[in-house]
Amino acid sequence: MKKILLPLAAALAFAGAAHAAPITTAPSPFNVTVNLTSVCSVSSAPTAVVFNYTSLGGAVASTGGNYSVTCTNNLPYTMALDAVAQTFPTTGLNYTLSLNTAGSTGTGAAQAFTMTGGMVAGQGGTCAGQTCSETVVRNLTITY
Amino acid sequence: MNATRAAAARAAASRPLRRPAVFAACLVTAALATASGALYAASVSAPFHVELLLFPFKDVAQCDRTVSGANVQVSCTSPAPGPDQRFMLHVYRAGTEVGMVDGTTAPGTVTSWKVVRIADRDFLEIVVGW
Repeated sequence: MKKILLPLAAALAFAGAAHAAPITTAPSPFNVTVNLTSVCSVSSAPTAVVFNYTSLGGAVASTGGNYSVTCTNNLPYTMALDAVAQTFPTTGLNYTLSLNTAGSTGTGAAQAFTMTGGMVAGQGGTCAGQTCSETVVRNLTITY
Repeated sequence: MNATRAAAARAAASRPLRRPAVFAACLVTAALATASGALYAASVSAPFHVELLLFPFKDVAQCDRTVSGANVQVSCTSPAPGPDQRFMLHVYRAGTEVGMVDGTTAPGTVTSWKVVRIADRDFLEIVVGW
């Protein structure tokens, strides 16, 4: 029995060795592609621009108007208002708005900006009561 | 039948001549598509409020002051102050606002004023003559 087993074991061992020897590895490169769509968003909408104006009084500057924009890193963008000079429809007072900067380049993080407003002196306006208040909606547009 | 064949043959013969034009049209179309993609700009808008608080002129007199040594002369534009005028003064010390005085007075002339300083607060005393 031993005489049979020994040659069989040897044959199996040889066969195993013969199988192990030719195993090789070959790199198989492949591509990973990303399609990045750049984008901008108004991460913090502009706070209200507020004017406190005295009829026939002096020129005033606005308060508020702070906002922030978040754009993809390195993405250039511009900012614009729907109009620079406008008139309050009810009181008939003229005012102007301007952005502290017209554009920038995205960083991937929120970038803070401010818009400022002004009203020239000497406007009378229309107001029947002790005080009058008026609110209008304007638009800020980011183009990228 | 022969005429149909002849027409087909003429059409086949003319195809190679038309191909360059077709290719050119395709190239122009592709170029325009690329250009339009390159020029395409996206935008996003954000509405915001512009608020106005308007004070009628009759309620406010605009004043200015002239400093000459220890004398301060305050002159107000029209409308002439009527009874029970309200005055608001901002009190500064070393360039820093330390408080505001909000009071009422009658028509007249401020002849003197001084800041009275006590332990934890200051008072502004105004003497008015009329």
